[in-house]
Amino acid sequence: MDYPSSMSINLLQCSPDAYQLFEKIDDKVYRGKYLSTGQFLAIKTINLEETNDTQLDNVKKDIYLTRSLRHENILPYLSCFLQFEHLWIVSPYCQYGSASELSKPSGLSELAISFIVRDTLSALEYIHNQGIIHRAIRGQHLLVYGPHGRCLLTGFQYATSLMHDGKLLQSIHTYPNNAKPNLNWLAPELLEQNLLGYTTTSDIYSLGITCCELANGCVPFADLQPTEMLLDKLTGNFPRPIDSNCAELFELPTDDLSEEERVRYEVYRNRCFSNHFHSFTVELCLHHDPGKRPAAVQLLSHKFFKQLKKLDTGINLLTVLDKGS
Amino acid sequence: MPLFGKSHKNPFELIKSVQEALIAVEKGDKKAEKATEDLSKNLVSIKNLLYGSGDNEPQIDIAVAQLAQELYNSNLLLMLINNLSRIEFEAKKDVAQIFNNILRRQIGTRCPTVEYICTKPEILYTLMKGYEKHDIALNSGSMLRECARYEALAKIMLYSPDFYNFFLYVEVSTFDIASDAFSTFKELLTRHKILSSEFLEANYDNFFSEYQNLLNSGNYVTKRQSLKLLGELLLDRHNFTVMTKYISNQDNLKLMMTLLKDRSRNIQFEAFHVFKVFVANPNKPKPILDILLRNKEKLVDFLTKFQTDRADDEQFNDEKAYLIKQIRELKPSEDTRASSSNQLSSQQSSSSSSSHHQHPSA
Repeated sequence: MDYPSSMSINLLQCSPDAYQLFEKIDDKVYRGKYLSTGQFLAIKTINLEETNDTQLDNVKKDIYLTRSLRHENILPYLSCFLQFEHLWIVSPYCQYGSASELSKPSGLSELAISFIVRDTLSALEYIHNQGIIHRAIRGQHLLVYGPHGRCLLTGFQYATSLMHDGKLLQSIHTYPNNAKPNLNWLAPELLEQNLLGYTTTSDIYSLGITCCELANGCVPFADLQPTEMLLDKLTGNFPRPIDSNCAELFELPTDDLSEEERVRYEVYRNRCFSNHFHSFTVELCLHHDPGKRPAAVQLLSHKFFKQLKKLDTGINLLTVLDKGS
Repeated sequence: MPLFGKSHKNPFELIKSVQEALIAVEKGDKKAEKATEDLSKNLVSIKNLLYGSGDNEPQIDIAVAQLAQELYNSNLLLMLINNLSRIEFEAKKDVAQIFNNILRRQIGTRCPTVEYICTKPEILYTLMKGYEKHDIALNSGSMLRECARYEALAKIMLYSPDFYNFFLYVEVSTFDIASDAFSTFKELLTRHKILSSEFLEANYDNFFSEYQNLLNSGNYVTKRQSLKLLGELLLDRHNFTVMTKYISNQDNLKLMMTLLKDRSRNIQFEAFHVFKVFVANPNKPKPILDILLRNKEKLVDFLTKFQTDRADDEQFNDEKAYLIKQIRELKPSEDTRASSSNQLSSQQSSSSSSSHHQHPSA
């Protein structure tokens, strides 16, 4: 079942009675059913009594921005309403979870990543065109939607707009007041808060980190203190998709590793990503100079995505992940 | 990046194309579909002209001046807004962006678009009605808030009978529309201090009888936000007359005392910031004083135990201690308490907009 993507992503009913809730699929998210159609949905409930004014503003921004965007790779909100102090946000149900969950424990195949990254770039091209910077591109905000494994971008509570006072700004300088959960993905120029500010290309850097996250099945810099992470980024150090080309991998003493880590390293050593994927991630997305990172629209024609064009019809992210129906 | 390539039309031609397309769209015959597409394309071209696109700097001076002049002459802004529902989803946003850019246009100290809209207030009335249609509510809201930045336009909206529709809009069940309407409502009441204080004084009875419904609303967000806004309005020194009137009414005091005991901590907290003004008033009218005296022991006891876990909120604790002291010292005849109370109200008004609203998450 597909949600209507064209003219009217009209509101579903604004009343809790119109829905039936099932199990929790995330901290605040339930799987639910729209009673009048039997359609399955994801229903996020936020207790506003536990939400301070700043957080409430971010919740509103998320809803406002999401409602003003319409793209096949952006998770739409179908309805938002209150049940006493609980805010219900209804969206399509993404049964395959997030790209970050799918990438665990040892990462996804290059082909799977190319599907996800292409869909993300397509969403980025759309929002960047409107002057919106997402500021939280990461695996967790990329949800996989059936029946064809389309990726949907979400998480607009962190976003901001370059459209300001009737003008399109070239860059902005404000530091997001809710950046903390996303620090590891954020671009160096955003984190260091310098005079030049940052712009849409900071999302491209985050996409580069996401490529590593999806390839390696773990979050880059996860074992570092924020200051160390920042220092690494500012000195031009970057993570990369780990494979047999990575010399350090073979020098690593394996005695101290847990069983799980050992399995993961075994996977790393026995795989080899294409040069296109490496250069896409490391040389373009993670380029230290924000001005040298290509725009989303340019990246979409990168050779990394050539492998997708050669595929037979019927091959999609789900079949690649072996989750096809 | 331009969506549809570079436009070669000059401003005059662009406006003409938009106009023709709009007429066809309005008719709704079989040409309407094609016209809707043309309209979207031309709106993108106009937007790119104003904002720049990709590496192209926005056009300045002559082209924009021509465009603006044509917009005024052709009455196109009103036409676009009247037909906003018929325009494609993305193009609706382009209309809002074109509008918001043109609105800011300045020649020296003059704002020609603002002057133009003053002569065409239907534009504002139509935009306000936009909150009644969910497909254009947010676009209308974005244009309205831009208009509200200009005192002349805010005045037209405040004094229009339709202003009172906001009391309905802020409570609609669609959360995004209700909260957008509330931010416009708030902007109109807080942006231009003198304008809004004059409005509130002149329309005190009408306004506050409607406002009472928001404070009693069954909608949690309406209640919380309207209470917070009430606190901000009363503590703004421009609204001194309005505040004096508000805190002289015993029903208002009773309501705040009820809200202090609301089951929501956030609502209690906002109620506290209104309640304190009643207590700090150096010239309490007899009915107010009587209520406070009658409840003296209970209030002292209640406030002593009130939200004691906000230990790190210094200002809140100072104010609470001050209120407890004031209530303890209340005497049936009162005439000598003016000096210390004034101190509190000045302290409040200087900090009302920022500090007391940043409560930590519960």
